[in-house]
Amino acid sequence: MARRLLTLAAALLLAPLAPAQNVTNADLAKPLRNEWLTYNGDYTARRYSALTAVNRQTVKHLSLAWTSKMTPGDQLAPLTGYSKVRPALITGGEGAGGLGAGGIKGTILQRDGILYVTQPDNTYAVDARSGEVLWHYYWKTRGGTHIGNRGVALYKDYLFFETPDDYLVSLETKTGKERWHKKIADVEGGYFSTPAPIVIKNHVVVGTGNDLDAPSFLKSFDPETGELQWTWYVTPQNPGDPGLDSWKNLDAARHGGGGTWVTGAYDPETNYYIMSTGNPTPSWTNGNRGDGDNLYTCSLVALDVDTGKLKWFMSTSPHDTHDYDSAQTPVLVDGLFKGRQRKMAVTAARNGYFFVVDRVTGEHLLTTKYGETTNWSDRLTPRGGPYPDPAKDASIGGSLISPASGGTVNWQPPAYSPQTGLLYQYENNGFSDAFLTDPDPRGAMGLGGKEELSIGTYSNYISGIDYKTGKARWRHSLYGQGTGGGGLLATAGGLLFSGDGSGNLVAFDTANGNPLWHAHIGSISNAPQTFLLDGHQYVIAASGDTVYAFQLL
Amino acid sequence: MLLFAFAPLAVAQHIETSTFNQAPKRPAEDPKAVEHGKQVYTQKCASCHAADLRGTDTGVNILRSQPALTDHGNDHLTPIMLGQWTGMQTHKVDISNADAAAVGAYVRSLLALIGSQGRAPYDAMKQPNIVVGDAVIGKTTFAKTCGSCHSVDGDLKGFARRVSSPKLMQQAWLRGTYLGATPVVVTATVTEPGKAAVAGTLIHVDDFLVTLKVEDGTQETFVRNGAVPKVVVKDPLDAHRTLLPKYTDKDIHDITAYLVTLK
Repeated sequence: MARRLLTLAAALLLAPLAPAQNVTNADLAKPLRNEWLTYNGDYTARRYSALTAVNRQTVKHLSLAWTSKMTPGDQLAPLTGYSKVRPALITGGEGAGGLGAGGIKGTILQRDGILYVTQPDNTYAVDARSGEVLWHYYWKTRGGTHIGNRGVALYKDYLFFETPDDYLVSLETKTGKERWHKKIADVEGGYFSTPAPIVIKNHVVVGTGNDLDAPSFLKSFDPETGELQWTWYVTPQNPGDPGLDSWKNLDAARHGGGGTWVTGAYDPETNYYIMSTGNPTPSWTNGNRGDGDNLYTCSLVALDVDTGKLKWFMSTSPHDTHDYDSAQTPVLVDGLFKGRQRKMAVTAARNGYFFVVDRVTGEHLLTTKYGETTNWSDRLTPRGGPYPDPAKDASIGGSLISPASGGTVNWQPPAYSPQTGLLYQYENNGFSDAFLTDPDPRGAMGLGGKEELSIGTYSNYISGIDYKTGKARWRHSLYGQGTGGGGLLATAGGLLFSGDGSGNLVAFDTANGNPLWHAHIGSISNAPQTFLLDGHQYVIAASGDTVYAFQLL
Repeated sequence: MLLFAFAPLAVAQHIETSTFNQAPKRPAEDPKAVEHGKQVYTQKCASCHAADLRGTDTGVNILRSQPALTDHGNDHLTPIMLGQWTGMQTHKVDISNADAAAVGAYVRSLLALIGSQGRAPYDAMKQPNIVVGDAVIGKTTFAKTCGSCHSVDGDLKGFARRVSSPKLMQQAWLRGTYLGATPVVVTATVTEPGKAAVAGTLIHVDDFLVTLKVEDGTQETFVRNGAVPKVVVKDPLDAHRTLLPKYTDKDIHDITAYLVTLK
């Protein structure tokens, strides 16, 4: 291995990298195959790669090609000895910096043999052939919650990422030099930004969130100038806004939360950006928000990407009272549903329910309970949204709820294979005891007013859910307590890659969930990915601060 | 196969996942101004915004007000109090500039106390009595649900003395473990074809490996290939987990009400 790294490094010194080509809108619209250019690989958000070299037969030869450890902060990375120079360090930001970066919990983009890797406040360009860091940009933060960063967006020779203190930063891809940064929200107001931006046409769409009863929104910026194009608030902000009658009053709606934590999908045919919104606030108490559905929190929504106007919505957790945000990635599926060809959006939500919606009209097609022990809802609304059973709200004596507020799944992106018609997702059936600690009739603030004590995991799976029935066609038991990893990847080679929660990166058979290959490299902190370079199919995944790359050797 | 779904319990999950405003740290306010501001607030503001700043039907919750949160040196709060804030011209409080500045200092001193995940100041200090069940019914429910493994004269003798917080006790008995108790030992037996079974304490198990601590104190790791070797995991807490989907909350509250009497 060492010799191979040396050889590659030497080769790089002799032959400069091929000149990078600008990323075009046409590139971004391609189905996922050789490169990885957007958060979910392509606009369908299926995380389904057409690559087949690594497949059910060959995966047993998948071997480690390189590892690469990121060095966050404003210290230069240690000199490895086999690389003659340290990567360039570029700094920016408006604060003092110094907050920890945590693990790699996002998508790594791949273009022209360069990987773009992020941790909060840190963005790196990494040589995809060797794992050597080429440049490192460090943002000196003003603060904000540093829980994770989901990655960058690419367009032309620009890249874009969000910071925990709520800036959209644009860099030059070649050098890491900053082009500009724009404020998304006020960090003093409790906002913190984790999502990966997505570029659609001439829009950079960004999300943000807040645990302090502030209204969340999507914003669209001009990729050239950083000028704001539109803002869509998740909750009503003015008298007469649609959805206002689902709140107790305007003040409640204006503080209604609905974090836009997770990057969505895009349907070029309708021009809809389709994503899911987070929980209403205050999360656990509803004295301030009434009994209504609290629109458009915990909803699957479709927006016209040019105007930011809402086109349809499906409330997947109406009037949430358990911090079950619906900030999961919806997946675009084309196929038969009850004998009719449909264009659909499907999502397995944090609250343990699975949904199918017609993505052209917003018509609700299917709701099923996919969580084995899900127990917090006793009825569906007329449009198929599970409404909370008041007896399972946090209570003085404790309410035993499943899933725990962490969810049947959380932010981890699912995968969908058109070969099998299955949506692959984690299914964590945990319990917790939810105690109401602040019975003030006004309700609490943020995620306060309650104490949630973990009771443990009943069962834990990776599941393949048939979108036609909403039922798992297979479930593979996991041994760990949490979800298996940071998300899933399906390939045309019939493989499903994920961490297993027990220290392994695993390739499962998409047809039945049987494990076919594994590497014991640690807890996988992001969704595995794949790309083709020099004729070789690579599989990459991160564990903590380190990226691991595999290929058939 | 259900057996394998139950992994050994780790330590209690920590639910809190983020901290509100890790930075910027709010600058410390002049304690005298804060004290004076508190008095002025009580006289001029509390009837609408409440003593805890969390609002009433006639006044908003100041602790979650974006203009208040993003105030720097009274650039928002003073104009709001004086009726000079766009859209709030009718909010004109009869107050001097100096008093308004002091109220601003008091408000900011409380904003600085907002806790993790947007919790109001002092949120965590509220601890209502969680014992809401019926101890008499709980005794019967306990006998039926728990009695085949546990006894109030045996392993649970003096349980309420050992776990004095009823809330932690409820968590403890639902999980089947509690802080300070001897950790439950999960064991496993591994049987390779044609060989004698090896039994021991389970250290690790996944789809590919199983590691046991065997009788002589050493560890032994076996490679798994599907059903070979045969692995049987025995977790004493399986019984607790199997019960989780079956309880009603009333069962739980009644059992806790009974268990807190076991002094």
